[in-house]
Amino acid sequence: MRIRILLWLCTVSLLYGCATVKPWEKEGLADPIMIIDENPINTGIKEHFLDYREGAVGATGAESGGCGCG
Amino acid sequence: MQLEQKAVVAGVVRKITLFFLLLFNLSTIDFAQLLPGNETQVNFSGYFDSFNVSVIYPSISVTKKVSESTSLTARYLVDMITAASIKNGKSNSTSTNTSLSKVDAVTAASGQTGGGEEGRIESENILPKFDEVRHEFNLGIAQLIGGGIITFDGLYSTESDYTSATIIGNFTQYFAENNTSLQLGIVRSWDKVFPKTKDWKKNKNVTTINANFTQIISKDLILQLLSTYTDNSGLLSDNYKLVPITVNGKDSLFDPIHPDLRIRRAAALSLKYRLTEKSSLQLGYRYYWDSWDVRSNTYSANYQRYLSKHVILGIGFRNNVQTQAFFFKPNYSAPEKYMTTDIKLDSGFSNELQLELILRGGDRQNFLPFLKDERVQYIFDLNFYLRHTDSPYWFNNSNKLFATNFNIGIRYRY
Repeated sequence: MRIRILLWLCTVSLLYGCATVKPWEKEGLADPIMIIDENPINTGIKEHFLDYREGAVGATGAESGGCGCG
Repeated sequence: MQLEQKAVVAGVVRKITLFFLLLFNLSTIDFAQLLPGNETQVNFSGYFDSFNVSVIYPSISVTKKVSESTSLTARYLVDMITAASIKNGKSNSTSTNTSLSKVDAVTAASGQTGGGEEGRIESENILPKFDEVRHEFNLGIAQLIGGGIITFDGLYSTESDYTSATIIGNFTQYFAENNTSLQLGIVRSWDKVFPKTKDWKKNKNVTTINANFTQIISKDLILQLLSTYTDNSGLLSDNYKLVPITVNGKDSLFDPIHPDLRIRRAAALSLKYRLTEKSSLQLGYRYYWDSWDVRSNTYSANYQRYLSKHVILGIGFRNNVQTQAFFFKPNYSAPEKYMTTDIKLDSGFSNELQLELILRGGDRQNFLPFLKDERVQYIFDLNFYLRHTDSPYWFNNSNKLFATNFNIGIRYRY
């Protein structure tokens, strides 16, 4: 577990130094096609049925629950 | 064993919290207004598969910004399911419908009760109809705090044989001129299971910890790392998915028996890259592993392109390959400590093709008057899904599941 946390820290530290994009350069990133999860509600709906068809879940950024279909 | 697991969870929470607090103190706060804005979204979704399961699930969601630093969200979803699980009892298998266990599902068949969606076969002469209705309510609040956002959601779901109460908390912190964000989340569910064919009520508890990291690498590239740790305990089986066993020459159906603890972990990497001014590509990979020996590799790719200023086309592909749970068997010759024929715990793979069309409102939409309002967005999703398992499901002797999933949505942002 310590190794994993250490890996996380290293990765985050490395990437933390990548911040070179200035606010005025981000216009393109606000474009809907560049937003990773532009519609989280819709993402949740899409993920919902996969959760009950496969043995693997998680790490999708979507959260759902409440169904006992599994 | 459970105490050990709880200690591990507590340790993880403590370490991640410390790590997060450390970064919070190092942050350079240049905070943008990143709260969810005013929006009403209505979705009408459906799911149909080759196991004769049909689900219609409309939903409505309203988000209202009540102040400069607070927004509220309310959502209601209803699942209307045909071919619910109890029809499992009307098996077309060779079972003699004799049970040696306390399972009574085979003889208690009733088309109007049940729960679950998969592995349900409609008997002959049963017309499609809604066998199960599930209601889900969700209330949430998002609050700006310092250089981040705290969100808190409460969710309640109820159906005839299952209830679930869930709380979700997330904290997202932005750093480095908003080029970096870290999100830490926790989800806790308290579920109650009371199958119509049983006279008991059992609990299922789920605790999930999420840690997500997003980094803008350049003006054309975004990277995201996601990780999830989930502790599931209690009744983890679907008691409608019975296990056929031949004892003394007589076919019988037994309750599935799953371990009452499952630790699930997943880590994912996602990259979003702008290919041209009008197109982007998102690539994803996820590795999943759990204490039931299920391992999975999931790959995804999604291409989005502007067909015109107001029309976006998305095409995606997803592939998942998994191993089987250590106690899964396609059939059993005798009762065992753990046993299941739940086909999603078998090894196999799945492929999904995703199509999406987004129509965005705006000016110059003379040929489509309903799109003149720039606050409106129409969403059309159509997914084709194929799952192949290494063993056929005993109930219908099929190792392939074909499914179609659609969604029609309207977003109104104001």
